[in-house]
Amino acid sequence: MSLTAEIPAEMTPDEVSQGLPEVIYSPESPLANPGKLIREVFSDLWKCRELIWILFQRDLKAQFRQSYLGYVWLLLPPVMTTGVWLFLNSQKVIAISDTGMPYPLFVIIGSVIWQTFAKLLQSPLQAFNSGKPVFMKLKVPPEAFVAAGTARVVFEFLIYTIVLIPAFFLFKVIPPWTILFIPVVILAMFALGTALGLLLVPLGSLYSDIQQAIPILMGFLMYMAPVVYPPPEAGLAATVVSWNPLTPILMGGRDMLTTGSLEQIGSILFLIPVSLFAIFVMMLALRVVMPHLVARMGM
Amino acid sequence: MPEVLVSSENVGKKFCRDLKKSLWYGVKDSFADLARSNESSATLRDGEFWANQGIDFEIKRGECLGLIGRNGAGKTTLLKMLNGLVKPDTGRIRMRGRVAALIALGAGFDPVLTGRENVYVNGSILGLSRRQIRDRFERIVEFSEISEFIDSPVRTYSSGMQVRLGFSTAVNLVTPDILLLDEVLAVGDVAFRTKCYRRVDELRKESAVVFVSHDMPSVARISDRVLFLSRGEVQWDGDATLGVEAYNDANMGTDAKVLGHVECVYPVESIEFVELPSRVHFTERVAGVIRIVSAKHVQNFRLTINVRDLSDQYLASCVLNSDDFDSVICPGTNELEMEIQGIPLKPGSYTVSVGLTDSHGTILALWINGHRMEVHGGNSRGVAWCQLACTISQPV
Repeated sequence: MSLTAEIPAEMTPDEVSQGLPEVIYSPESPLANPGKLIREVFSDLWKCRELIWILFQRDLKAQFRQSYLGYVWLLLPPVMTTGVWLFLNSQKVIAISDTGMPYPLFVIIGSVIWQTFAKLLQSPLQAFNSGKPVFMKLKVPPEAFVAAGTARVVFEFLIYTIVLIPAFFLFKVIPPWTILFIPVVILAMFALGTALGLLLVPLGSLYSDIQQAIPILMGFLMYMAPVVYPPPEAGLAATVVSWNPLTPILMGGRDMLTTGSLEQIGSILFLIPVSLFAIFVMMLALRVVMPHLVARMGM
Repeated sequence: MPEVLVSSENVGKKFCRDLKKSLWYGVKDSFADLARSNESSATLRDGEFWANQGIDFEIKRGECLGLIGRNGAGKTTLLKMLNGLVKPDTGRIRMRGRVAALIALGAGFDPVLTGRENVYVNGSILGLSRRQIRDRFERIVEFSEISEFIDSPVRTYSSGMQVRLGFSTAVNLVTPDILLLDEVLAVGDVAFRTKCYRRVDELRKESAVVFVSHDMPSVARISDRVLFLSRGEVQWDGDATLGVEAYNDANMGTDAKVLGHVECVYPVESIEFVELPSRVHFTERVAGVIRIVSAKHVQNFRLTINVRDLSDQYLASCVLNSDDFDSVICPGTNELEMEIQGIPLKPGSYTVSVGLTDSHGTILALWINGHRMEVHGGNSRGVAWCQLACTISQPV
């Protein structure tokens, strides 16, 4: 029960204190010693792997414990999306035919990727803001809260993809061997979404404008990406869509699941290291600016 | 020689009163750090003030530093810097060893989850592994005394129960070298609070402690030294009892004046207690004059002198019968000289009242809280010492 229980009996308090970790807080930028900063970030991330899991579970449980249908609510949106498109297809309402695959499948795959991406983009800022009451009082790695949010998106994405499987049977599409590349596409999607999401955290935690703007911009961005229609051949829209980093992920993912084309693989392989590097940089940057953010959160 | 675990050298922190400007400075400071610019942060910008300035101190293992000051004096800011949540704008803080902050109880608690689940969330936020929490779980529940409800959602708990669980989790999970305490001890009912104090006493023996509180008796009891902050600067650094006194003195002029009032019934026209000292040592002789103006003779009266603390709690009284002192009240102004050999009260501020009653106990005059008196002295734990006759005898 007493405090000394933690200290081996043969060591005197002075011996114990020899090995005590020492921290210095000063006005100096932590970037003055980047090696130390990098080690700190990664060792903290490793140390808080359980915290990430516990926070992830907490949020999931807290959301569904107070409902009868519980996790059904996670399954329902993709089921509904798929259902609507199946219905529209059966009624021959829609006639976009040059997609190289059944149009409903085109839209369903597109919207799974888009919705996951949209959540990835918003999740870091949301998770960070929800952790503010804790950051203001206790020294906790903010990455844990952000990572728990991303873990939540991963979980929801898995549920979405389970729903996707029956759609392939219904449209009698057998994925070609290129489906083996799908994990690469998924990695690219998660890396890109997380990188962009992390980029929004520092400013977004100070100004609420960012959080207000995201949903509005997302609506706009969706039409600047080939989510519900194939990329236009010419004009300004074509240029915008072709420069959109999400385009190769959307197009590549769809191709690998249906037509077997590997046209986009180059861009996707390029996106992955760039995004991972951006995530790395943003994690360091977040550490550097964290005390300033906490100082402006209030007492 | 116990080693220094906390040291603060010339630490300063500035804040901005204006929200928009404050946010903008936040952006600028962030970029300055990212760009590693060496621009000095030691000057004030428009709208800024020093929330902490030039703070120097050291704390050794086994030592407790009391941090006192009025609201907004910069105590929490200093605590946040020690905890590494915000960084100083000037100076340097060195922390050696594991730091635990009993500041936010029940951080991360979700009302829908059960007490059990929340202990794991909270413990994990405090930096423990699930195994470590599992090993200590029984102890936590036992300490909090809410084992019956541990599997109920936390939102069915009373606020007192929630705080209990938070406190139990915090104090039973951590074994810190440095302990930061921010008035969390004032939680729960009396029995639980006593238990909290005992547990904290255990913890602080082996660690360097910073204790922030407005409860001066606790500060005087727990701390070896106090740091009295005023407008972000150190006003006093040293002995705890003297520091608490310095703090009380500084508040003399500022806190709400205790305004006395007088009530009189015929034949008494007025009553007042004058020439009393406003500051006394607890062993000192105290004298004063009770002045009564009456329209006619009053025989067989009784004077009651009451002492209350600033929260108007009744503490002591002294009853004087006219028969014992052979005095009467005559028509006109009467002056009665009062004298007492010492004031056996612990250091603090008190108010004095006088009541005058006739032989039937009917109140003739009241002079309520009309005088404010500071008592100082006593030993370092804030306990008054009083030499009164006390004997023991052994029946044969």
